Amino acid sequence: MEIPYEVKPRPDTGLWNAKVGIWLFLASEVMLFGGLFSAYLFLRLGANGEADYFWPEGVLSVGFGFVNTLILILSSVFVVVAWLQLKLKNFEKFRFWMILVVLCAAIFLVNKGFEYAAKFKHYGIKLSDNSIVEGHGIDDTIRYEGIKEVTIDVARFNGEFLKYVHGEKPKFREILSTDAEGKPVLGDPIELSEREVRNIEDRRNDDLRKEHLAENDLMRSLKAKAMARQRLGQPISKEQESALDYNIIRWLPAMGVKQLSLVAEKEFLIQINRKKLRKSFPDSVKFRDQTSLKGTISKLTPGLYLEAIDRIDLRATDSENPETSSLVWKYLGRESPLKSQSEDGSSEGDKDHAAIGYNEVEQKAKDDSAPHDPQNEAEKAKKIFLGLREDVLAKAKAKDKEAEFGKTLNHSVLKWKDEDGEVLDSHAPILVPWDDVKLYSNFTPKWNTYYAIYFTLTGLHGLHVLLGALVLLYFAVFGKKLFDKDPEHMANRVEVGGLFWHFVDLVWIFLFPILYLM
Amino acid sequence: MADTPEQILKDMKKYWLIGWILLGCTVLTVVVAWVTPSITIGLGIATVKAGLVAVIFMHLSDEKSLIYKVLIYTVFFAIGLMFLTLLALYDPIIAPSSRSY
Repeated sequence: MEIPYEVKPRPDTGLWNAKVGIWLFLASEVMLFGGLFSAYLFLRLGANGEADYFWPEGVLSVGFGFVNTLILILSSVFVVVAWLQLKLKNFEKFRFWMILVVLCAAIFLVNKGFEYAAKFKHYGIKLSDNSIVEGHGIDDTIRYEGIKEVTIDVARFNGEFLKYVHGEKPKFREILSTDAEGKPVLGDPIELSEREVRNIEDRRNDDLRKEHLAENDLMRSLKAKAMARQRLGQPISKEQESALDYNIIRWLPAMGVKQLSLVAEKEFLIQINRKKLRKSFPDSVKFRDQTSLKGTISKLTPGLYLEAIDRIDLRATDSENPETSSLVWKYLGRESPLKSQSEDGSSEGDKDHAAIGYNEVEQKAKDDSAPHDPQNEAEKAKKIFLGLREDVLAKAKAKDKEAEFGKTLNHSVLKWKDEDGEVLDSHAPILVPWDDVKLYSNFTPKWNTYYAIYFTLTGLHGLHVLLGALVLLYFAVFGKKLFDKDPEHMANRVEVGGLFWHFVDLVWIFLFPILYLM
Repeated sequence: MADTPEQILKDMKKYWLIGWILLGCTVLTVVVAWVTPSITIGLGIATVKAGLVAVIFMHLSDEKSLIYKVLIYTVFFAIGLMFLTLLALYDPIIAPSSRSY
């Protein structure tokens, strides 16, 4: 089918068709991004207020954003230059400039990839008093000891907890009932597995069903007898009387066994990353399949550990004087007992660090001539935080203004130069007891609305860069045939691709100051 | 747009010039944000940059009226979107027990 007006303008619009098409498309794109920018405004203006949620500031690297802005602007110039080369009927030069555009897009996306990767490795912990610490090298290993009692939700059980049993897996005995003295009556020892639980479920359900049917039969006959006696006006026994009220119910699967209580033949311990659990309490733990284990948290894993913190945000802290009484100060500088115990670095948490390639801090600590003393580092971190706070207050005082609340209690604690010009840098660990961890996460959309809108906006923009670059690459690689046939048509196609590319640039022009600078 | 080679070469020079201005504006944005963080100046420079891209690179300076008709509605509604947040600002959630600052 011949598409009309690819080169010549349509008489009524005065434009060739693709141009009308791309502008309509771009108009819809403006509304799409407009909606997201509007959401950004809403979230940003809604933060820092009554809701105890504060907008993270200065968390993106301006350098990355700046370089990416320059790259996109350059690529926009390259696109128009490439298009003009086509108009000059010079395909080879067009191809050269177009490939430069695609290279720019590739650099932009690689940069973005680095930025995203850094966020995925960066963690935040919200403490129970709403203080926030951020840093690297998380260890959320949790260990429960002295476990004997296990309760299983029969329908959901998937045997997950067995994977985390340390050492030899014990055999279990089912608690069948309790005797007159309240002691449990135990079944035979079993090797616990999903299949075994299904077998027990089937057996138990079969028994329950038989019991139920037998009771039904008994009651049915009693009821019949009672009714017969009633009709004859004869007295009926108490048993028969209760049978009269009895409703015969057929067996339903819901009447089957729901929970199994098991006792291990010997005590065992489990070690697992907290994020894989559903709930954890000081004396019990619940897996996602509702399996519940009774035991105590090991002294080796009393809390959530961050190897090196880099920011403390006390803006939402529930205290009159967060700068002195926040829980952060209480737990800062504590080392993980599990980590200090395993000097070979074979704990589960350490493996996690290796997986994310994080050894910067250890390296730094080794490089320093003084040995790494966590308490000393914590003192330095506090000094840096308070020093930066003083700086903000002094600056505001100099201008005879009140310091902005948001700027006084949220600081990076990596580096600070004091009045004597001495540079302080800190690499302090923190160990927050499980009870005082409100939530923790890496910097993905679930951490807060800032990252939610950041990933949505930049992710959608990144997809536009990728798809735009693919289209432009297609023109550069496969455009020669059309160019030889009809250079004007080819130039129009490139113009349409170029318009899309400029739009992508235009969106970034707003994203850069909004996300990186404000 | 005239398509004579002379005109095209002249356009080429113009595009490079605009490119340099845009790069300069980007540097300016960062410097201004560093010296005196101001949302108004930051967004002001961004708007100028976006205007240059739209008017020069996307040839809006030399376009048929149909395109403007499409865009005028888009711009109107897109700007309207930015004011939706006012509804929340003037009708906020009240939480009397929370800390004020």
